[in-house]
Amino acid sequence: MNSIKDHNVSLKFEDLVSEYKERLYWHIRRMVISHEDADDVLQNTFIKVFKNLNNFQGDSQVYTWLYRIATNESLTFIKKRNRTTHISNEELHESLVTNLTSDPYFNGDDAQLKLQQAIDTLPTKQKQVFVMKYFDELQYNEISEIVGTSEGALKASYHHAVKKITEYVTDI
Amino acid sequence: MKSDKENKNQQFNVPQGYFESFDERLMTELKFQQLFPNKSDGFTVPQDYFEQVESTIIDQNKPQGKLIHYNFKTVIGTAAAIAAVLLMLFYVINPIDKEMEFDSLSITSLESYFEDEDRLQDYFSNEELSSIEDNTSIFDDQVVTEDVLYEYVDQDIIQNSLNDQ
Repeated sequence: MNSIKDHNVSLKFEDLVSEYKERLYWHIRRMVISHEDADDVLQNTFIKVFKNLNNFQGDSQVYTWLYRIATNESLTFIKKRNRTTHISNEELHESLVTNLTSDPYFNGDDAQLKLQQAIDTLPTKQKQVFVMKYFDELQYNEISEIVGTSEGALKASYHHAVKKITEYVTDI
Repeated sequence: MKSDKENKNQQFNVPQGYFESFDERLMTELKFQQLFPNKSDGFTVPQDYFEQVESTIIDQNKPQGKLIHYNFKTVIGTAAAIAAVLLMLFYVINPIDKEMEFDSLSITSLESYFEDEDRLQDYFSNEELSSIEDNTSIFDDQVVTEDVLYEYVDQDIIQNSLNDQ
């Protein structure tokens, strides 16, 4: 069976790919930064989705289930990348952001570059919460369902992220 | 409490310290919005990327080979038989009822345990954790007690103690 039920509507795997590929791609891209890495993680995400279609419980919304898989795949990828490069998370982010200036798939201005630099100084999951709230515009209850953390903790985490980003940008 | 003076009917409550921390939270948000008035990340993708990736993903996940129908009862029966043999072999080869000890855990198991756990350190830096611990007024349901902090004991401490042994 290559389909799942969402609110009594049967969705085929092809429909899921078509409907969610872009949203998931941008979520992943903001976590892993480079397009090539985001492409790998997006494909791995959908491979996992395909393999687990039968395990979808239907008690959560389809997109929160997909986001959860994409988020876990992104975090797993970041951990593996850090292990294989044998450099610290901070050093890796610094080099990735430096590479952004020469990346053909980044056309941000100075403010956007500073924002990326600031985001990359955040602890991994604080960054994840910030990306979901600010860029993906998810509600706290949705983020809570995806990452399994209480809404109160998420609000505090987002506030700390905004504060740190603001301080980082005004200090440089 | 300031909020009680205005809250004449006493019907509604707010988290402890809500009004005290409100100004600071509002100013942080306003300053952030002034710095980044446009919500854009500057990332782009190669031309036609989304069309191509869709067909790549669907091709990758197409069922391959001939579909084989298994007799469910036979499969269950075989699996049960194999499991029984393996269980018997395990007790024959390893008859000593040895209790699991902390020392017998490998560093890799500990590492993967802590990686899989939802660690507070991933959400907050040490500085923020101590700040939250000192002042839990930001949000009422965000209370980080000392016990919780100790529960998420730092991986380095465990690894160092294992290395020392």
